[in-house]
Amino acid sequence: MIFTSFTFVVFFVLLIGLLLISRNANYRIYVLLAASYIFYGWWNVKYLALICSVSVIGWLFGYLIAVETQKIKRKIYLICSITILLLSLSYFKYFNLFLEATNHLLNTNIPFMDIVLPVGISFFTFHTLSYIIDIYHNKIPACRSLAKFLLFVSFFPQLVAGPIVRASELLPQLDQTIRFKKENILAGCQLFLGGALQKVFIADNLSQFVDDVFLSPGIYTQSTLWLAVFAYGIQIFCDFAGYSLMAIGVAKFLGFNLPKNFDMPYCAKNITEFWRRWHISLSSWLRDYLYISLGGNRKGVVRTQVNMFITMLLGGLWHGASWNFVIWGGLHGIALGLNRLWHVFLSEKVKQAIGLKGYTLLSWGITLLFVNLLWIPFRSPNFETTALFFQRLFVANDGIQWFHTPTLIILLLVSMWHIMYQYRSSILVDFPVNAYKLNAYKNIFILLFAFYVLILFSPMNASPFIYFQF
Amino acid sequence: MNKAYILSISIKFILVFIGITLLAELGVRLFVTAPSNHIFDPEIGFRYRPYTELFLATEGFARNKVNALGINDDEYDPNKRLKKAIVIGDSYTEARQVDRQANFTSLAEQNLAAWDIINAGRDGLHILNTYEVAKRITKTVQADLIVLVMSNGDFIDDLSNSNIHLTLKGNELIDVGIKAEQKEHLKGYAEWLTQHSALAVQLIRQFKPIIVDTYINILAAFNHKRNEDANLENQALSSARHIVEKKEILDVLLTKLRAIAPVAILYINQIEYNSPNDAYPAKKPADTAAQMQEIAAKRKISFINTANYLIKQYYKNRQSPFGFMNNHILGGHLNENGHQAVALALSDLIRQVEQGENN
Repeated sequence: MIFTSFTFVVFFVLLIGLLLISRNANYRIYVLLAASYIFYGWWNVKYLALICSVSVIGWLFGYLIAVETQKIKRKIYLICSITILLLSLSYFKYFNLFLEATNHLLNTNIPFMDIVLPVGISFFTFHTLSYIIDIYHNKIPACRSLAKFLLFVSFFPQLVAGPIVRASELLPQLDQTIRFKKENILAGCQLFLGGALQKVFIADNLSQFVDDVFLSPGIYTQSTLWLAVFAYGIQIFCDFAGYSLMAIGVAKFLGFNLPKNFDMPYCAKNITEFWRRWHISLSSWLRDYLYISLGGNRKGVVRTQVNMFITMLLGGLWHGASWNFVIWGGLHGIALGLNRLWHVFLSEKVKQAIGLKGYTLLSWGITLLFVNLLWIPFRSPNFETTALFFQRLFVANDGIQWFHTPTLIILLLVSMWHIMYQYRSSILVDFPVNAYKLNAYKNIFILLFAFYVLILFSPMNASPFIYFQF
Repeated sequence: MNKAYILSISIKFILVFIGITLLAELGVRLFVTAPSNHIFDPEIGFRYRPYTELFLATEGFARNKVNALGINDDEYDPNKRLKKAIVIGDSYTEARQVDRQANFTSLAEQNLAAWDIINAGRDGLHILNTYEVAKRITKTVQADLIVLVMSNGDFIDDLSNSNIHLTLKGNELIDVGIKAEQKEHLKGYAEWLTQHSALAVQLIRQFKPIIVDTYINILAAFNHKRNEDANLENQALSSARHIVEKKEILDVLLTKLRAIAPVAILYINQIEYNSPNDAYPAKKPADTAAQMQEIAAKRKISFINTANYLIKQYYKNRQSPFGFMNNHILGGHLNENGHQAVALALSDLIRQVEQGENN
């Protein structure tokens, strides 16, 4: 079930009806839990067993770690739980890669297995892992209620594509009574519509162009390829940020606060800042549970560089078992390391030489170019296509010229949006706008305008959310 | 919330709704589409209301006017003492995506001084309905030639349509036909609205899959008995269709059309690319063009496959002959570049017919 479908509208209306008639706070938890499982089971009912098992394992080990006083036993429980959860994730995501590597190394011919990657497996596994690790570090208490914990893992707004919510953020909210408040409803609607506009109007329209060009980059001109690179940069941002915003909006409507997942990443002036603004919940998850566990920046310059590289490489592999993601993650890791060295040794000198404005503009331009170029391996189906794309991108070639008009219009609108944001336009910076600041006419106008744009300009064949595959 | 508040909000909502709907109507008319000009027609699904606009900016951005005959062509002048070729086909022929002067029938007319070429294409026209269109148009136009424009879809999809009626005499197929599909009736219900509002047209277009599915499901639920009868009829037809090949259906159609005027076939072949220097005729599904050519040869009907013309045109300027900047560029309908190539093919086809007559 996806947010932009008619099925979801019916599902959500029924859910609100049920929540309204459930007077008891506990009933509301059960209603939300049932709704979350229906939401997930709608995709494939078989995998409900998986999410349920992962949750129960997480809850049990969380409890065992919390009640255990001996350090060694706590550590054993932690290692056991992490191993089980990562094995389950690895089986679905990497088993065929493992078979491929085995066949390659041992010259065998073991057939690949027909493994369907369960939607959102990375997200609910990461939710559970963070819960267990936080209990181990005594950051949070164990959740006593199994129902609440099952809901924390499966809470439908953020279940299939994030944001990755920490137990410390969501579990306390589940202890409070679910109440519908006017300001939450209005803010939720704004967030949902804002997300839907990003997904349906921007990302889906761009995908019509991007998909064609990435399918056969060998036949288009250099300028068409450049347009496709930036179009994909905007597509993946709006697809993912749009989904996150819708998720946050749906949760807000129900009275829950989910953390921000994107903060205008293309306004970043260096790669470190980009990762503070892009997929914030995953970046911070990797920082807190992987980078810091590896030693972070506490063990010298070289080790910091290595830790950053490993973290980003694994972050790349998290997206899938392919060389393209290794290249993408690895190069981001190297760039983060270089950026750190740059700031230590060169940044100030260059700033003095070319002035602050020039330096800012240059940093922003380089960051934008670097991030967008690295989307090429991320988007390409294989290494060969990536190589061909780069080859044709930097050499003037014969080919078909295609300046897709909707893409040009959307890129112009998105550029204006980013420029306005840079000038701190309050309606963009303070989104969702406090509904009490607007009069009824403005509220209704925004609602209807967004509605018309959505239904008039959405492509006939909506593309699936890109991050569902991860 | 008291009654006064609810009333005040409702009034505000209605005012804003009316305002924004009018704005949306204007925006859609300017940039997306025109109000519908379809008139339900039980024989061919729909026909165009004369003197209305053809405009759909999702592919190209051309605005054309339908003439008095209800086709995308200049007004017919019976006093022109020229030979008349009626070109019949679906959206490839209608060519609403480009300005009328740039479509292949207009361009071919410039190449052939002795011919008046009449574009009788209509979006979505089923290949078997070309007979009905030819019959109607020849009431006004004395045709010297009918050019049937076909593409892969006409042969593969149209001739597999389960609504085709086959008339058999023993094992011999003697007649074929097709009536408007069930979903075409739907247009009748919203005709007033869609003929006055471009916004309604666009909204219906966006929700078409949901609307059509729901309608068909409702019909199915309420017409159990009728469906059972239809199923029995369909079973009989399917078994009949099983022994009838697509080629035979087309053969019967050609016989019927030839009773009206001599016939020629223009086959529009999509092209594909291995690299910018290697364009080739699309072959999926295989041998459609070859089968068409075989039928034409058997009947001694002039036939031209446009593939080589389109490839030649591509190499001339390295631009795709299909597709538009605002849609897909490698597929879809013919663009101005493609129309130039097909115009040459049509001119050659008509010359071929003339030569055949002279011989």
